[in-house]
Amino acid sequence: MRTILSSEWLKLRSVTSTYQALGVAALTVVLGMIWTFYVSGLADERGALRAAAPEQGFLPLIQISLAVLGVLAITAEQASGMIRTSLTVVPNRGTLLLAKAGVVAAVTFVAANSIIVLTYVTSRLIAGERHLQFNESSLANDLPMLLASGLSVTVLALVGLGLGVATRSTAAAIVSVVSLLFVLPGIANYLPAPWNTRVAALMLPNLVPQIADQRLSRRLGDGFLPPWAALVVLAAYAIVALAAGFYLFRRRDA
Amino acid sequence: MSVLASEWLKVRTVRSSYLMLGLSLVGILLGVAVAWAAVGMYDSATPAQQAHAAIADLEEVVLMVPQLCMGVLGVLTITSEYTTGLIRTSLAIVPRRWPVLAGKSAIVGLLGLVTGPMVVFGTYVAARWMLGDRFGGSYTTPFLDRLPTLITSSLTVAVFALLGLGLGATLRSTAGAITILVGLVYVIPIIVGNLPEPWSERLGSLMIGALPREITGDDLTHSVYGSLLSPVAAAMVLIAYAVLPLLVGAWLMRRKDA
Repeated sequence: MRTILSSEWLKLRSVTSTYQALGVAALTVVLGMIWTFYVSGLADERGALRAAAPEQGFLPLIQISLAVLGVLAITAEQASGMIRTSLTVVPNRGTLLLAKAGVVAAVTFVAANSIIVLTYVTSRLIAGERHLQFNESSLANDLPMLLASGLSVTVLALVGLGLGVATRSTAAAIVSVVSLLFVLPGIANYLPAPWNTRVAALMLPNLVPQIADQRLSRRLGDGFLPPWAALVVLAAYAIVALAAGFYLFRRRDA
Repeated sequence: MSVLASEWLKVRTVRSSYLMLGLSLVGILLGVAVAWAAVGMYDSATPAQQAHAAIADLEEVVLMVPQLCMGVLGVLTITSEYTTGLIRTSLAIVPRRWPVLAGKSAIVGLLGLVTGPMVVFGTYVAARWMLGDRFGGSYTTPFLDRLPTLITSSLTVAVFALLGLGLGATLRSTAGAITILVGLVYVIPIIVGNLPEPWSERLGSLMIGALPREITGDDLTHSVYGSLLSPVAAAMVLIAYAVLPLLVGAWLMRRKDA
């Protein structure tokens, strides 16, 4: 298992797309700083204002770029034919997929949390004592949201990996991830109440505030899942996608 | 002419084209499902609730489905050739770069021009028929008053198809082009919406979602983006979304080896 993990790690760290995806996700830190400088300037003119926290506002950027990393971890091999070499060396599909999932989960977890924490720290340092609303709550208060955000990125990367295995196509897998992350939640917003809240509460991006026990949005209200249930649903997204991928991976020729 | 025929042959012989066209039309079904749920809700509500009930324009809600699908189709018409290496064959047969890209643009743009109106008008007709005069009569506006916005909304689907093609020609990578496309449709509008005034309205006016209404000047107060552009300026921005990436892609295709 250790050798398989190290070979997966080698594959991931030796392609440029990994660094491009990580680079785009890391843009969040820079954008967060620009954002904070900008709202700080406004606050100096107006006294106080309510600004969104940068690590929340730019979270979709981290989510989509690292989900693409998860997709490419498998579809790049399918496209280049490398998958046949991989399966000759490691004939057991389950072991291969597990190793890939492990490496992708570890990389995205570390990357997402570093980016989120770095954005959090720099933006609070820049904001200082100004009244921007997002910098006025304690770290203990913000911690559940930060952890849930980081976890959601890892889940999205694993969903990407699972869909990549299932569809064997970069385009199809990315479009499916995008549907889960943006299209379906967008459409759920427009359902008539109370169905908008009921359906939207199960959507991937809306699980993050529910895990942290916070409000979904002005339009949707509180959601209805308690934190533990939202956590279970979040994990279920990754498990279902990977299980579907594994089933098809075993059944089909590479 | 033979370039057009060969591009058309390439598009109609891969499964992903049919998948994307099919998924675009699923947008109509989504609209019907939302309308059906809305009718059920409205009919079981009390008169007091009915008086306050409101509903979004469903053809605008489902519009992002064909936009995304046709954008991906545009991306795939060029990046799949780079993935398989077919592009070298294509360019050996048609050595000049621009006719290849122009042929692809014509085919992809045409498919967008067909799909867009089908989804937009299909959803509109279905929603109008199902909702009747419910929700304070939001669907009883005369058809001719809504027509300009329906047309400009449909056109954005063709813009997306060309934008996808341009991004694909520029980046040569399916993953990169689709990610940027998604960023333009979903991620950047979210970030722009979070910006403080006046920037959220200024930049929001440039988002593709804002342009159809800015071109027709229809019902601007309901725009979630912004509505600062004049009709002519908005039309120019919409065209620029389609044309600029194609020009960059054509330039890079001429400069770089396949």
